[in-house]
Parts: sequence; C-alpha cells; structure tokens
Amino acid sequence: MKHDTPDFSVPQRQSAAAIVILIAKSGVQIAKSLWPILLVTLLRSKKGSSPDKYLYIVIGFAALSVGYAIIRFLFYRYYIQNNSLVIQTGWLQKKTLSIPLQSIQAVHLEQNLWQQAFGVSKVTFDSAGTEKVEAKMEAINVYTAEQLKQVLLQYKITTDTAEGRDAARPPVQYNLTIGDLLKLSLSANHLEAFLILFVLSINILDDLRKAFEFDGWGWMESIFGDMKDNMVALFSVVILLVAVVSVGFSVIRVFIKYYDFKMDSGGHQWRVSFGLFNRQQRIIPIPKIQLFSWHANYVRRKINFWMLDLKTLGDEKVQPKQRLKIPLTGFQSAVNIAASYQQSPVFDPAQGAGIEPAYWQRRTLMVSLPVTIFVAAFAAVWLQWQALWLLALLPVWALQNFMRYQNFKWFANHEGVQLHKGLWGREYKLLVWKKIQQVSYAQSPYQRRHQLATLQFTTAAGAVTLPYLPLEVCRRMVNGVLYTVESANEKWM
Amino acid sequence: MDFSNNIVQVQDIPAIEEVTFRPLEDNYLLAVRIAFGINFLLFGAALTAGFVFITKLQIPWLMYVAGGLFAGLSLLIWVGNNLNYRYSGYALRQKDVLYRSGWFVHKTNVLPINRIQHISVQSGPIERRFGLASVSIFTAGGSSADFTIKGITDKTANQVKDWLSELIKTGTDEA
Repeated sequence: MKHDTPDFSVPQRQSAAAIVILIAKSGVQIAKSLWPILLVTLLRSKKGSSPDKYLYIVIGFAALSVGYAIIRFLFYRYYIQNNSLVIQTGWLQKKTLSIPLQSIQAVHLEQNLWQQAFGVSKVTFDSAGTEKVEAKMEAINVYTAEQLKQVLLQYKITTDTAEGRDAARPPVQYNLTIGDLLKLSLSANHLEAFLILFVLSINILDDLRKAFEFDGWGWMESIFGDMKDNMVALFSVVILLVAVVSVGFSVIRVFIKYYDFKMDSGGHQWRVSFGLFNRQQRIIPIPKIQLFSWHANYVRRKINFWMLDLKTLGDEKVQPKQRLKIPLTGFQSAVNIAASYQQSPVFDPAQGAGIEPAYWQRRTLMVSLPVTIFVAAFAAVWLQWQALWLLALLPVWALQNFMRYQNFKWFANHEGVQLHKGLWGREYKLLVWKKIQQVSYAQSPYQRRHQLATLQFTTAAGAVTLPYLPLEVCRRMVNGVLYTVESANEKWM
Repeated sequence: MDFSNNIVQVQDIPAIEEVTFRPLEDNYLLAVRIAFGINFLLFGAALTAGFVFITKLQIPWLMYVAGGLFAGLSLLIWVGNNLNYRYSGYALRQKDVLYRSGWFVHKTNVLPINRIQHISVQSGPIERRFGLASVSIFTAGGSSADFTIKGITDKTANQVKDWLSELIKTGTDEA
C-alpha cells in the first residue's frame, strides 16, 4: 500500500483509532477497579430484581469516560514548527507543549494488542530534561509514526554530526533465541515469581468470595485437610506445586516480556525491540547513558548469563520495574557493548585494587552484631534460652561481609573507574569521569582515626561508591577527577 | 590548527586538603538553637499532654522510658547541632564549590561549576530574623538540591548565587 509522506508542519490529528483506544483504556481502568461490583450487580439484576443504582453509576461513569476520550481526541494536535515539536491539547484548559527538536533524545514506538489490531503505534519521547516522558501520542498510524520518528531523529543526527559527537563506535548487533529465553526464564528469581502469584491468588480468592460468596480458602482447606495425616505427602505436594507453578510463571513472564528481543546500534544510539503481546521499540541514545553496569545472580553467573543495566538520565524518576534491562548471553557480549560507552577495556578483577579490611570488620561490628543481638533478644520473648541459637547468625553474616570485601575490586585510569562486587552474584559497574556531577567523601570517627574515607562519585542517574579507601588515595582520586572534569569541560550528555 | 598538550605536573593539580573552608555565621548557631528550643517545647508539651490526659498511658515505667528517651534524644540533637556548626563550612574556587558538614560522619562535597543547572536562595522566618539565608545548588538528574549551604548572611547568599549564575551563563555561552 502506498502512503503519502505526511506534512508535519501542518497540525496533525492522531489516528481515529485513538478514540477507541482512549475509550478502551478508560473501560479497562473502570473494569479493573469495579469488576466485583459489576459482576454482583449483573448477577442480581438477572434474578429479576430492579436494576441496581450501582449499574447507573457505572454507566454514567463510562459515558463520561467516552465523552472525555472524544474531547481529548478532537482537541489534540501535533506539528513541527521552528525546530520544535508542538503538541496542543485541551478544550477548556488549553495547553501547548513545545519541545525543541535538539533536546529530543529518543523516540519510542510501542504497540500493545489494541494498537496492533488498529495498525497504530503509541509514540513517546525522551528529552534532555529529567522528566521520564515529556509527551506521548496514544495512537498514530504506524507509517506516520515511523515517518515522524525519522524526521525527529534525523534532526538529532544532523546536529550531533555537526558537533562532531557521532564518533566511530563499534557496531552492536544482538538478539535472543528461544534457547536463550529458556535459559533466562529458568535462571530467573522464582521466589519473586512465587510471591507475585501468591499475592495475586489472595486477591482473586478475596474477589471471588465477594462476587460469588465462594469460599476459596475453605475449598483449599478441604483439599489439603484430607492430606494432613500424611505430612510428608502434604509437604512434597506443596513444594512440587510451588516449584512447578513458580517456574512456569517465570517462563511465561520472560517469554511475554523478552520474546523476539533484538538490539542493534545506529552510530550514536541503540535500537532495542522486544515483547510478545506488548511490542516495544526503545531508542537508547548513548550520550544519555550515565552509568554502565551488568550483573548476574549465582545461577546466571554459572551459566554465563548477564543482565545489562543502563542508568540513563532521568532514570531515578522511573519505577525500577519499568527500567530497561537487557539480557546478555555471555560476559563477552557485555564487554563488547561496553566499548560503546568507554574506550578502556574492562579490567580483570584479579588485577584490580581492593578496599581496606576494616570494611568487613566494621560492618560486622556496627551492623551485623547489633542486629543479631536485637533479633535474639526479640526472639527470646517466645523461645527463651533457645533464642541463643540465633547468635549463630553472626558468623554467617561476618562471613558474608568478608566475601563482599574480598570480591570488591576497582580500577581507575584517565577515562574512568570500574568496579567489581557481589556476594554470590557479581556486578560490574563502569563510570567515565565526564559523567560526574558531584564528588564527595565521608569519614566516620573510626575512619578519621585510621586515616580512611568513603569516596562517592555522583552522576545524573546514580552514584558509584568506593568504601574504606586510604585517605591519601581518596584525596588523590578527588583531586585528579576534579582536574579532569573541570579542565576538559567535555559535554557530559 | 591551534593545539597544545602541555604536561601537567601532579603537584600543580589543586589539592582539596589545602582548601580553607569559611565557617558559618555566628548567628546561625543561635538560630539553630532557637529552632531546636521551639521543637523541644512543642514535642515536650505534646508528650506531657499525652500522659496527663490519656489515662491508659499513665504507666510509671512507660513514662520513665518515654521521658528518658525524649531527654536523651534532645541532648543528642543539641550536642549534634553544636558539633555540626563547628565543622560545617564552605569554600568557593574558580572551578568548583565545596561544602562540608556532619557532626558524627564528616562529609565533604565538591560540585564542579560546569555541572550546575540552577541555584536558589531561601530563608525561613527564624533565619530572616537574623539576616541569614541558604543557597541550594542543583545539578542534573535529581529533583532535590545536591547540597545546600546554610548559615550564611542574606547578602553573601545572593552574592554567591549571582557569581555562580554569571559563571554558568559564561560557560554556556562559550559552549
């Protein structure tokens, strides 16, 4: 099908499908919050009773939502004027949002099931500001959305190239196979998956009880009550059930989220697309990355599966769950991608510098010991002398502190600092000096007596902390880093 | 092409340990003590009222524990305020702003001027009574100030703000 290239200098409306999507969004929201009342009302009215007043309220609320959606659609216009993307909204309270094109860092296209059905995309923008998403368009025709994205990003590429920022960066091309997704899901945090399921089940059982007067808890008791005489069988069934359900849930979650994961680089940015039902396409401008890290839990470390965690400007305002984490099938993939962020190779932790042993000793004395005593004293109310067994927690925590100390390695050069840390899992963190916003160091009374200090480098998206360094090293680092940041006057974004 | 790449001697790099910090104004300690006194009276009155009017709370050991905790905490805050005042100070260099604070853990923050986004000056009613103000300096990323220099005169605060604003503007124009 041939499409005409839209003229973005003329005010444009969203696709007509936006009305349906806006109504549907309101509908889903209403249904989510009112479904037990709706269900009860509908069931009762079937029994011949007069229509409930709740139904009128719901219908009235839905009508308002439809009206609101139509007004939002009719009074929404967008266009490009004087190198700015202008978005006009509102009927009674009019609002004009003007985003300078040079500040648009990324354009995201997203398609959930609704949007796929109507052949439209949701379009969102990231700007150089700290707001997570400055503006969004609910439903733009897919072709128009692609054209708009190209127009907006072309401006950025042109200006960046003119400023000489589009330096040669190693190309990145990467995708996840079905096997990778299986590895990713099997090594996921099943305890978290179980807890999510558990909370959901409680809510559903509660809602069922309200809607149908169905006693879900009683039903479960009747099933497991029959088995209570055979505790071994009961425990085996419960553990097996929990394991199967949690792993199954993890597999489904991972496949829905990461299906058909693709990542490739386009000079100064990465393009990432993924998702089974809710297909997302994200653009990550490399200059916007402030901190670069990748980590693995114990299981994933053993199967060489890592999660890339990019801290970009404005991340602190985004919910942790919504932040983009990129699964990597091997340590080398992380090293290859890291080359886009910094020139220096990733260091070998065995060759890195450590921190002072006072770190684990003080942590044990000042944190683990008081917590152990408090826990034991609290438990003694019920367990009496048996609570003394809880003091065994102290050597366990002390050992953990010691392992954290041993695994903490760092390396710094003219370009930045690199960290390696973890207890059972591992995390690598890279920071280039030009991203630094602030430098600070702190000393507790113990550190003052022993000429030690804790150093922190703060960026616009998080901080890197080097605990328990010799004071002399700390001062040299502060002086050197400040000299680098203040004399070079390099762009940090 | 104008290009230079001179060797930088390590001893020529400005050293943070050589910076002389300017102490906070004398009036500031008085302002902090007055604010503490007001809070002490308010919380003390609320605690006393609780024990006088709520009979269920009139348990001797509970009253001793609550009173002891209140007195201990108040003493700790009083001592903390005094120590913090003595240690706190600020310094302005050509390329950065330094601020140190803390009574138990001593902390020194350094903020390069080429990273400052904006600056604000503010003062509360007690500060205004003593002609004092605070300067908050913001960088990118967070919504809260990176640090706030408290306990300087209103005049100094505005001078610092104007000086930094001018430097930021010059830096932006050059870029």
